[in-house]
Amino acid sequence: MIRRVILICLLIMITILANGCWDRRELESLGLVQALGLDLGPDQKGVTVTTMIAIPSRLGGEQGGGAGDKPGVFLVSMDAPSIYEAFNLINTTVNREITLIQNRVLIIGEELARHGVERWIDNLIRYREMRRTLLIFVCKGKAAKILRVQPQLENKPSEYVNALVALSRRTGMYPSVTLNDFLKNYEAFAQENYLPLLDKYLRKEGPEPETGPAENQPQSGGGVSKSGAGGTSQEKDPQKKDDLRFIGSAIFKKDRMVGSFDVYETQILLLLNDEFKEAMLTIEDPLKKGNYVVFKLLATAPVKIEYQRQKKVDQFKVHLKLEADLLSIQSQIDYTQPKLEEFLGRVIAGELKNRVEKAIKKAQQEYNSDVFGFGKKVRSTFITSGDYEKYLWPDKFKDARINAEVKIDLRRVGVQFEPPESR
Amino acid sequence: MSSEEKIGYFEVLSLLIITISAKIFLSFPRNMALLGDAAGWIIVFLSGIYSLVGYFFLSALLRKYPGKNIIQIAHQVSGGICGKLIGVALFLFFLAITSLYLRQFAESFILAILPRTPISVISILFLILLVYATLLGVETLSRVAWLLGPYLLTTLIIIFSFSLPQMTFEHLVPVLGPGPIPLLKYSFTHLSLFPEIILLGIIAPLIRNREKINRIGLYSLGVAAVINTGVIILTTAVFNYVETQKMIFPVFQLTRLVAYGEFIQRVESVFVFLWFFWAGIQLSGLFYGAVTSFAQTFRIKNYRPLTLPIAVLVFTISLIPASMTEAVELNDYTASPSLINNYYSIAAFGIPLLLWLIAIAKKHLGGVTND
Repeated sequence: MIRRVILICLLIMITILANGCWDRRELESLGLVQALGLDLGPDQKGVTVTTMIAIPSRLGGEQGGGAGDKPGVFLVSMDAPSIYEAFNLINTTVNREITLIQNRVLIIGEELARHGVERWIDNLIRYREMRRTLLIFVCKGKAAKILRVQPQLENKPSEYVNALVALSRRTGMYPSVTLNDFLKNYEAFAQENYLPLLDKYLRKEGPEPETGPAENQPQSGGGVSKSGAGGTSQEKDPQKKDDLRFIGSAIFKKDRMVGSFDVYETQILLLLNDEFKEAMLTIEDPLKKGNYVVFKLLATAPVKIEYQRQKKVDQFKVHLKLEADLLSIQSQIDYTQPKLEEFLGRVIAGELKNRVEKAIKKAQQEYNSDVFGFGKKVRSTFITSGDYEKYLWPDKFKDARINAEVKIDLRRVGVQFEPPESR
Repeated sequence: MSSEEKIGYFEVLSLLIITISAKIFLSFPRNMALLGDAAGWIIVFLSGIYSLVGYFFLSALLRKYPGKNIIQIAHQVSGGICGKLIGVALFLFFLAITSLYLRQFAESFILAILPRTPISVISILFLILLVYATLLGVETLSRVAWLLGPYLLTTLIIIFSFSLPQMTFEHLVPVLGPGPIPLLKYSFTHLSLFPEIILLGIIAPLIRNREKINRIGLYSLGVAAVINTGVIILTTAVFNYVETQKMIFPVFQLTRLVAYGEFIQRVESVFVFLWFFWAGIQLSGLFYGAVTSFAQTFRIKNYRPLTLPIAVLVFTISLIPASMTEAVELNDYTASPSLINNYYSIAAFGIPLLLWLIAIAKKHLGGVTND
């Protein structure tokens, strides 16, 4: 009996004491931010913070009725001198405490990125709720506008972007960068940053009468195909067909965005950063012009970079060793013979080498930004950190001499040897 | 003196390892990155080797005067007043190190999970634990250490192995950081990385197996040096050294990074438990050291009544630093070590050396020593 009384007393004590707990936060009182958008404020000094806040009652699976039509999130946008002040301002209208503990997506507007993120980067890491696993993106136009897009497949746009960026390992057409990755390069003094670049996309639902299917036109000049980059037509039915799309990567120099790589240049960027996994590519048939060979490029070995410093010139040699699997041959030439396989491998390697050198040249001459991380090689040749800092690698990158060597082995040909022949 | 207590080999070993390596959760990785850039781990490693040398004197003393702890040895070797001074010096060492660690751990909890809770509440709750542990005695404490130690270590290894995919060894260059000479210098001036080993000097007489005392010290220093060096390598390789230099508690940030597939994410809540247990055992050990060293110095037979007053002292001292940065800076290991750091190394390695020298000198001068 006495034990029971003590137990009941304890239980009452706990309920009373737990109420006074300083860090008590009820789930129902939290406004869970799903995605955060940052834009340059109207006065060029402050920031426009757009938060995408979850509506928990619409996200739950059990009441599936409303989930299909109504979005599971809503947006609140505020102008403020700092990100966290904006949260307080948002809390003057949203009845739940804004918290970043579930935030996984940060979208930075292009204008802000070009203006420099230096003033905001500390905002992003100092606050304890901000996780370094946060995925960052740069978007064309305003982040607030991108966040407004309601994707078809998911209820939550942030989840959509998350899953989409994870597909980077299948295409290599855009990078997947976390806040931690960004900061590593930001402070390393050996590599510049690149972020995935988002854009609005007007989804096409089949052939439209006036514009032809631009995607399928073979490009002139042969080489690995360069189709599909860009090509969004003007808005007609904005509320229905708006979608998101990655259009490559944003290239940074120090804290500023200086330019962008399209999806194909981004593949090279990822290839040299060992982030590339696989991608399907098309090349013009070397033996029969006008036809195409389709293959899947697989990165199996890490890229090797040799570095030499001769007479104050930094010389690099990039060794890429890749594998390719044949997916399709249009020309009916039987490339599955070992001899031709080797030949095709060399042709692909030649094309790729061109692309690698072009991308490097673009980074050197247009952007003067070592996004490929050659600086890491340079750094490892110095014994003390002081010596490396004095070498000022980022200024020397544009004058470095960089050569690429690509070797491609055709390993597999799918489930078929010779291409079918109509007789 | 609580001579009724007896502790075993593994118990002491795990207690000491936990005590020496608890600093990995605090700003220790940051400090090493500040000192040695990418080569911070070399400093820790060398310092570990130096402290093994420093430990030799402690172990020699303990072997020469079996059944006595360092303060009793001091009384015997250097006489009443000097012995008391040395005892007070050791007490102050334990007092300072307990209070500063208490403050830092409390700050780290505020940072990690309890941002709105006042620091005094966390400190008091922690102190209740320390007082309780000390009242129960070192036998219970070391058994808890041995009971939990292996699990704690396994959890630590598991959590860290999840962050292995994020490592890039390219971050460990330039190999020698600030250059070879600063590295050698810092690793010597920062012997204060391993001062907690002096706790062995306090609890040595209670160890059941006398012959193993020497081994306990060597092993615990060795294992702790490996853990500490490993953590520095890990944090520097995951973040680069520039970033590590700027983080307050790098290991906490490291665990927040862990994302292994969709399922294993946000493991820092597990980590906080690990952290809490680790800190609890370490602080209890140090607090026990503070209480008993005071009791020994003034030949108080039962140390238990002292526990509460000293807890109040620890609480007060832990609140002296005005801000978290000040608390972290006090334990800082900047290029010129602060007074407190020098004091740590002198107390932990200088006092045994001094006593050893006196003992040797007395023997050669023909004085009466061993009884």
